[in-house]
Amino acid sequence: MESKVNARKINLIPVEMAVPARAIKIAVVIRKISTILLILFIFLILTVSGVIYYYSNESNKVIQSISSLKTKVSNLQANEQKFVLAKDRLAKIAVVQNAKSVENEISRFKKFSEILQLSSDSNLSEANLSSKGSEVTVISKDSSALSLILKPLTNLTIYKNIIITSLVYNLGTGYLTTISLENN
Amino acid sequence: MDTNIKGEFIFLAKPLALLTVIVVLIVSTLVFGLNQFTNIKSKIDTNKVVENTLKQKVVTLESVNELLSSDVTFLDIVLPGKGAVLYGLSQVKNQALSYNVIISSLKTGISTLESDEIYKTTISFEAESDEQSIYNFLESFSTTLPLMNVDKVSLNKSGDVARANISLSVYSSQMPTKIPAIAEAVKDFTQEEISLLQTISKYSLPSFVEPSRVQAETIKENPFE
Repeated sequence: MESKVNARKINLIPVEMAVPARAIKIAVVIRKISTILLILFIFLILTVSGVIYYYSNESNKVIQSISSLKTKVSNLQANEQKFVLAKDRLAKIAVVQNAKSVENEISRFKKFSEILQLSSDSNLSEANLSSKGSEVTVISKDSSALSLILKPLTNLTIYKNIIITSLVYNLGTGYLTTISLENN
Repeated sequence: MDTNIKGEFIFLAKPLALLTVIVVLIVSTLVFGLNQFTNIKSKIDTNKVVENTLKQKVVTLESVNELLSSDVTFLDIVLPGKGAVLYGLSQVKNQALSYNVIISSLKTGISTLESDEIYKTTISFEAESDEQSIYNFLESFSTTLPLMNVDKVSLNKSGDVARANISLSVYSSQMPTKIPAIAEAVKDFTQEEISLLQTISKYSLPSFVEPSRVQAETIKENPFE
């Protein structure tokens, strides 16, 4: 028992060469920090690997989905042809439909023509139809026939302006009225 | 004193070196991990956009058959790539027959560029019939294919007979030559476009057009040739 106690007290290293207690304490702290950081590092490696694995899988899934969708699009090529053709034609149809045309004027002029039919003594002689309007010459046998067609013209709102550009009386044919029908 | 410090340093060198190595490894792993994560995430985001575009494209293309029947002759004729004048003349003849109009002095002009890729050719002729039939005849061109516009009408009436000098425009345009890249987005039909397609599909076709079927199995290298 005594010899054991004595053995502990024996220090063979010279005092000036012994490691100071402060250094031992720092070393212990560093070792502890290193151990904690090592555990953290292992944890970090596992986490990073896991995250990369998960996102790589996700990326592969999206790539596979894209590949499968591309196959589907390829299989739908006949539909795509129709689609592209339809889209192209539709864009161009809009241009054609915006081109100036007499078609609207024809339906307007038909209404004017209905007024002429109110009088059997008034007849259309000539008409020039354009997208801007019409210029029409009407022959009326007498003044009452002329007034019969002129009166309803005042109620014709489909034209912006209705202008009588000339009125000629001829003994043989009667009244020759030239009317300019201008569009809105 | 100096010997003590040197001794302390030597004593602490090993644990310090180990600590430094671990710190460097942690930092390197973090930088590497973040880089990898950013790269993969950005790839996923880009691919998700492509995936969504393709999904949308598939839905759009699958719905084409519901909207357009297998017979898309009207799309070929609405603005023909070739033979627009012949189709136009055919329609003049057809409509004249339908409305009892006599046609004479039929002339065609040269094609002129109306606007981007759209050509216009003039067809002029004289028409003779009663006044109402002439109007109906002229109006009929708004529902015929290929698309035509009545440009000018000069009408003369003598008794019950009306004679008209008519000038029509018939339009043509080259067919599209390529389909978009496989991953390129396509814009679905708008409501107006659907309505326009439905209207045009009911327009009357020229008499000598044989309706052709687009077969789903037929995949041409250049689909519009």
